[in-house]
Amino acid sequence: MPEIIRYPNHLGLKGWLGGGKWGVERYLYTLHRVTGLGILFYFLLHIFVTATRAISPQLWTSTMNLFSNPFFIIGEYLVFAGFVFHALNGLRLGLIELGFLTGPAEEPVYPYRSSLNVQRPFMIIVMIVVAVVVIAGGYDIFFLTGH
Amino acid sequence: MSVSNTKLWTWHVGAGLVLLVLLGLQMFGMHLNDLLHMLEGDPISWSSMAARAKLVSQAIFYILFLGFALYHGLHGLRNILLELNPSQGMQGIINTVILVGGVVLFVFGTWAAIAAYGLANAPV
Repeated sequence: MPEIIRYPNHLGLKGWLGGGKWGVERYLYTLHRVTGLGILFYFLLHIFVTATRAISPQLWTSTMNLFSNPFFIIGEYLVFAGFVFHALNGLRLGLIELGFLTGPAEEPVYPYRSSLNVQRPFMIIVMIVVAVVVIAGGYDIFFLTGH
Repeated sequence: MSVSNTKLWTWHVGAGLVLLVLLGLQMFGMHLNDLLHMLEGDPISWSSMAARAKLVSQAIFYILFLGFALYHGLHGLRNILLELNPSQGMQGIINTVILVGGVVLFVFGTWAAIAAYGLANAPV
């Protein structure tokens, strides 16, 4: 692995909490990381939980019964909501990183026109879609599923 | 052989795009089934799970999903940890633990998918 050259990170984890002059996108960045870590933690547990299907039907059924209590149902909803946010915000970040929402090269005058006129409205649309899907998921998990 | 961080990051973004589809299908099938009716019956009951586990396509889906998800998740975790400016020695430990942990989990999950396929197709 080659040596990584980077600026010193003076703020460390505290830097996640301060949006400062960067606006709402900075908080989305923090939420993206928090949801990513939460999904990773869930996924690592999920590997072991779903492996019970390879052992016996009884073990699978008793494990699934364990997860039907209200504590885990709320957890399931949080994972679902975290996934929806992380996936759609990640798609937004990927599109920007690949240059789809940056517009043509222009004089670098802050605030950048592409940030205000293209990326900000797109972010708002993405967050509205996130809200709609998260509400639909809550309706399904809490009102339709026969837990 | 070492791989540049730029290449690892490109794979991270690519894996994320693949996961958007694979994890999207998984999440909407398993967690929004009452709304969307993508799967028959209760998706976590043994009969429903065993019916899915009988399919080779399901085992392939699971193994692909496992690989992409482990890569994307563990590489993201590595990025976060390396941003905290650990010492050179600690960077080596982080890289090794994440690489070995990822491989072990992938082998374990792949075994589970193949064993579940065998169990679901075993004569009763």
